[in-house]
Formats: sequence, C-alpha cells, structure tokens
Amino acid sequence: MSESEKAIIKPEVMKSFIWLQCADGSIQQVEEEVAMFCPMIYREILRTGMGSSKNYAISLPERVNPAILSLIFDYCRFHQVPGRSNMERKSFDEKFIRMDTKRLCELTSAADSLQLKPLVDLTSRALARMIEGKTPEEIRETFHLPDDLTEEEKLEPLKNVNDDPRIRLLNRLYARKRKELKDRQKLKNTEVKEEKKDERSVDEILSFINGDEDSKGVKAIKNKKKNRKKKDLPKDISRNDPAKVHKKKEATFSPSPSQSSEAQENDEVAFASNGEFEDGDIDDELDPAVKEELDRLVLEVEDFARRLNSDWPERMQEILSFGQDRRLVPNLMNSNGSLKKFTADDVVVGVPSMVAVDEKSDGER
Amino acid sequence: MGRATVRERYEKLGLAEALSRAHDYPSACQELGLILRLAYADLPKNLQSVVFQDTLSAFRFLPEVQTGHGLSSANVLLQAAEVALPKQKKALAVSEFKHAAVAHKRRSRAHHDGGSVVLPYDVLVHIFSFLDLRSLASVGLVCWAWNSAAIDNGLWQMLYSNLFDNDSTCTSKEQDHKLVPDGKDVVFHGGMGVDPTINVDWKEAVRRKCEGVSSWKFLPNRVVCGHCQSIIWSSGITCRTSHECSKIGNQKLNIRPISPYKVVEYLLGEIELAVMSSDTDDSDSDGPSPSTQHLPRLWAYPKLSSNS
Repeated sequence: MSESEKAIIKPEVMKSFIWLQCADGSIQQVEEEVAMFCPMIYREILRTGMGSSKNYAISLPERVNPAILSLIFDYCRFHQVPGRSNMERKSFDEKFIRMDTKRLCELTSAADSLQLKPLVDLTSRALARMIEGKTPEEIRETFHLPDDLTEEEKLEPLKNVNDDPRIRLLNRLYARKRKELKDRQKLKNTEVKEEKKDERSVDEILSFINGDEDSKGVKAIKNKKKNRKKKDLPKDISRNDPAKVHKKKEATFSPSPSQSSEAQENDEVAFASNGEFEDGDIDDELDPAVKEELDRLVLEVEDFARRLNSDWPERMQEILSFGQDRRLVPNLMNSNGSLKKFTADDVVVGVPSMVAVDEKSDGER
Repeated sequence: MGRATVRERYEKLGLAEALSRAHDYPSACQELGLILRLAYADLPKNLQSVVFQDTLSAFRFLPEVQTGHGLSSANVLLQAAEVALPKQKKALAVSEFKHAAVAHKRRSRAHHDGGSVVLPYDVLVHIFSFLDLRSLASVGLVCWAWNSAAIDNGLWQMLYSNLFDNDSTCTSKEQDHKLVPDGKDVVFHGGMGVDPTINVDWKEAVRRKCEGVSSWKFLPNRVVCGHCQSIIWSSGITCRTSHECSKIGNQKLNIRPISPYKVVEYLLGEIELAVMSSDTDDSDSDGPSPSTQHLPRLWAYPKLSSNS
C-alpha cells in the first residue's frame, strides 16, 4: 500500500489523522485527506475543530456503521487522488458496487447521511438497475420488504398522507392472515374444529338439561339479559360482515383479492353461523358452557375495538400476538357493563378495507 | 429499399446492446422473436446471420437476467427461433438455450442473503429518479414505504416533462403557467388552486395522458420521437434522462408509443416513421391488435406477456 511505503521512505512525514466515532461507540481513525473528501466531515472539522484526537472524535450519524464506514473510506481514498483518469475511476466504481443488496442499501443510506453525493449517485444507480424490470413480488424478494399494502391500495395507489403505523402493521397482519386462511382452507381444519366445538356444547347442553334443573331458575333472569345483549352483538356482526365483504368484493376486481375475500367470507360466515347456531339452539336459561363461548366471542370483539382506540406501544404488543394466536386470554370478566358503549358499527370481525375501519374509529372520537 | 438500408435500420434498433441490459432484456427478446417470425425470410443473407447471432447472444445473456419475465421472454424467443430458423441454425439455437436455462437455474438457487434495510424517504426518491415509467409504477406496489416515495410529486413531474410536455423546462410565453400541463390533464390536489403551478398532481397528469391515448396503456417497449424519427426504448426515458433530440429546437416534445409489429414493419421498410407517428393513436386501436391484447396494462399488476 502506498501509505506504508511512504511511511518507510519518509518516516519524518507525519500524516495527520482524523478521529471518527460511530453511533455504536467504536472509534476509527483515517487519513485527513480521505476524511475531508466527505462534505459532512469537512464541515464538522471546520466548524467545531474536533476530530484531532481520540477524545474529541467527530460523531457520525447513526446510519453509518463501522463496516460501511471502511467501505466509504476505500471509496474516498481512491477518488480523492487527483491524478486518476476517468476510465480508472469508472472501472473502480463498477467493481466497487459489486456487493449484496443489503450492503448496497446500507451504503446508500450512509453515503446520503454523510452527504457524499458522487457515492450516493453511484449506489442509487446500481439499486435502480436492480429494480428495473422486476415485478413488485420480485422486488420484495430481492430487498426483503414486507407485503403491507391492502389489495385496494395496490390497484389504486392511494395518496394516503396519514401514515398510521398501526394501519401498516395491521395490513401486514391481514396479508399474513389471508395467507393463513388460504392454507387452512386447503387443509379444511377450521370446519373440523368448529364442528367439534358444536358437538361439545350440544352434549353439555343435554347433560345440563338432564342434570341440574334447579340452578337454571336462579340464573335464568340474569342469563336472559346477558345473552340477549350478547346475541345482539354477534348477529349484528354477521349482518355487517356480508355487507362489508361484498363492498370489498365490488371494489376489488382482480382475481386474487376476490379469492381471498371469498375465503375470508367463508371463514367469517362459518364463524358467525356457529354463533347463530348456538344462539338458536339453546334456551336463555341455559348453561355456562355456551355462555363461555359467547363471552369469548364478545371479548374478542371488545378487545379488537379497544385496540383500535388504545395507545400505540401497548397495541403493538397485542397486535403482534393477535396475528399468531386467535384465542384470547379473558383477563377481565367485568366487561359486560361496558357492552352498551359499543355499537355494532364500531367493531367488525372480518377484513373490511382499512379505510373503512379507520374512518369509523375516527368518527367515534 | 436496398439491402444497405435494412441493415442500417436493424442496427438502429440496437438489439444487441439492449440484450445486455437486464431490464431491457425481455423487450429485446420480444422484438427479436417477432423479427424472426415475420421478417426473417425476407431478409438478405448476411442480415439473417446477424439476427441469428443476436438470438444466440440473447440466450447467452439469460443466466444474468434473474427475473421471471426474462425467463419467459427467452422461452418465447426460443419458440420463434424454432419456427423461423433453418435446420442447422435451429439446432444450435436450441442447444444454446438449454445450456443457458441450466445456468439460469443454477444461479437462481445460489441467491441467498437475508435481512432487510430500511431506506429513508429521500434516498428512495433519489433512487426512483433513475427509473422509467413502467418501473416507477410497479415500484409503488411493493410496500408502504416504497409506495409513499413512489408517489412523490416531483418524480412524476420530471417524468411528465420528459415524456409528454417539456414546457416545464423550456421558457414559455405564459410564465405563470409554465408548469401547468394541457388543460384537460390538470388535476388539482390539496387545498386551494389559487396558484396553478403549485397544486398540480403530476402522477394523475401522467395517468390521464396514458389513459387518453390507448397505445400508452399497453406498456410500449418502444417509443418514437416525432422530430428525429428515431426508435428508442421506452425504458431509456426516466425521470432524469430525457430523449436528447437533435432536431427538436424549440418545439414541443413529440414522443409516441409504437407497437412491436410496427417496429417490424419499419425494419422491412414498409412504413415511414414520419407518417406513422401521427397515425399511431388511431391505427393501434383499430388495426392488428393481437399485440395489444397480450401486452399488460400499465396500472395494474403486470402479468407476464407472451406472444404466440
């Protein structure tokens, strides 16, 4: 390397070094002329006079990590030498950008934060070349990006300036849910599960009828009231579902979304009809098992509504677990009183367009 | 129509270079396939061998093009070659393709790096400024972050001025309305439209222009400049790079789409570009439209096209 050669030949010539500190705390030193090639570092030195020693290292923006920093310095070291021809520079550049996608993105980001325009242009062009000619799915694969746009947004790219991260995360979950439902449809697990549930509750009903007739009367009045309220809720939901799902169907006309919304509808209708079935078959006076089912359903629904209104950090935790496990932990049983607050319109158990949900919850406030 | 001119026109099409560019590869294969099917028999012998060599090099470039669209267009080219080429050349082409397909598969399996990087908005907009119309539309469908960068108004303004109307860059008589496109294209977004130069929704303007003229809707691979009569790849016109026309002077931009069939007709000398450029709108919608049916629409998710 030329620097070590110079050091041997002229040991008395001291190269001045600039000290730089990355966001993670690690400190590097680099030759002055190399560092000065970066406008941001150059300005920092002129402005604050820092960087001359280890203790007064210049802190770099957080987008720059040590590995990328050394790459950047390789680039600067080559280009700051005035005597190179254009051909040399060009061939260096072409070899330089041969790295994996992730690294290239990090490099672009870091160069941008250091305001190193020629490197930003070089890497941006390289990334643009990687993007051109690919379908969105291929782009997602190449850059490992999430698929978090709703089907409607894909067809009519929306100018939605209100970037609500909750909506983004929920969209991602919906996309994942849709996939899960498709898989489940294939395996036909849900039908089996729900049938099982039905059988159990019927048996319990029968055994309860046959067993204890007295306790029925005591709880009769209370149960009647509770069940009626709960019946209203699921029924309203199931009524809303087809309406909303149909709306969604009209809005989307490409094959895959309608398929998934059909799958959704089947699942939701099956789920809702499960509730209906139970409601229809039992008397009001009956039975804690069925009541439990309804409680669970109501809790899910309430929880969902609560989520839409609650704070972002705690929602994030809930949402992340929501996507994986539909069974909820019934934490508070005294939720019956709060039922009155929620109208059927607030909460829709299904997959309406995100815009509709957002409008509704905003309208509430 | 002498031999020299057919050769010249073929060279102007620049297929050999286009095949080496991954994003132009599918369009170039499509064009080459059409040339094989429709024009090969009528070409002079030496041009036939050039076309054959280009076909072989197309297959040699295949492993580098790791997109589904690339692979399917190479298949289309193979089918065209099987139909059009004489026995010996056909055998060579087929074997070349088989080697390429194997190498393609091998390379696609080797691709494995994990992890995603979040690119900030400004950086994304900067990257997208190097993209052409088709890429910019599809990049907005990738994910939310990229969508918000892809609908940046500035990008679409640059694209509009490079494709349809360069008045925004030239000085014009009505200074206040410099940036306003043709009346029917203007869509105002956001609050008050007191100053028309501020509130133009350029993405909408581009979309309306595309929907108005039917031939733009179907993802033209090639466009023609009405002034200098040259056929250019539509991917060559990006937000940043416009068509540098030697003959435009102070005139308005005149870039029109041209279908692959018309390109073949041009090659065979059957049409004149100057005449054609004004008729494109009508003829593409009435005339032979097997091409337009197969080519995907611009604003929906692009399906893989195959011409049979």
